[in-house]
Amino acid sequence: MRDIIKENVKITVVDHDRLTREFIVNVLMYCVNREVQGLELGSQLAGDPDAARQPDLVLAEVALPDMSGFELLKNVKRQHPETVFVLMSDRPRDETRAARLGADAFLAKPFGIQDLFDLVQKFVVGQRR
Amino acid sequence: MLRRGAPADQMGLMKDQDIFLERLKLLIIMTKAYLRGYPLGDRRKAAVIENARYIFYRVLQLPAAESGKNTVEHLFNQRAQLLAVMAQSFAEGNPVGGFRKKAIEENVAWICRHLAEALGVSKMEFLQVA
Repeated sequence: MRDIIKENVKITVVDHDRLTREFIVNVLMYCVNREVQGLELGSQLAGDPDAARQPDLVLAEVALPDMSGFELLKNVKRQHPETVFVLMSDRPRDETRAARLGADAFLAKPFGIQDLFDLVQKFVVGQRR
Repeated sequence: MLRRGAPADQMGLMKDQDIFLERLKLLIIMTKAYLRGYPLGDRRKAAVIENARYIFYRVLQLPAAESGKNTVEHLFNQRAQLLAVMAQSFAEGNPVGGFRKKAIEENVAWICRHLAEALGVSKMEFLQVA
């Protein structure tokens, strides 16, 4: 049995902070060997009508300038319940709300590469018998 | 709901220094994976080059007073920059002979030792990913 990456997995990272966003995109792109989309604003994802571009996995910061990550989570889960949604925050109080709204994971800042590897292992990597 | 990242009482903003250290760890993993013969697809090559450039220019931007506080710290920064050059070179497809390979391995070992001893990065399990 060996690990495989889900075929053509689409991942989007939404974070207003450029350094953090580019860091996450870089780690994930290396992990899955695929292009990973990095967005600055929640509306860039929420306003995209093209279902074909809908990501399989979204990592979004709670505190976005145009809409909260919670709103984005509700929006995405309403239209695409199968999408895995990871909320990121530097505030402990956001964790409970993330769970209540149906986030699949909560990523508490600051985090390291091992935390991102764990998310890929859990949500992107399958196993072939 | 899965939970990862900092414990609740240690949560805070991602600092520039946090990102630098995590990117450096990633560059070490990328390099070890390459040395062990793991395949480098196009996206992985691009990720290695992007990460190497970040490390190279981040060290370059350090104020002289900060980068040269003492000899060991200065050496650490220079070795991190050297690793960035080495990684960019192999990701661009330049040949890596026996001596280059040995130099890369020696540089990675030095950086890992420094991370563990001087910077207190006690958990080195991240290297097992490679």
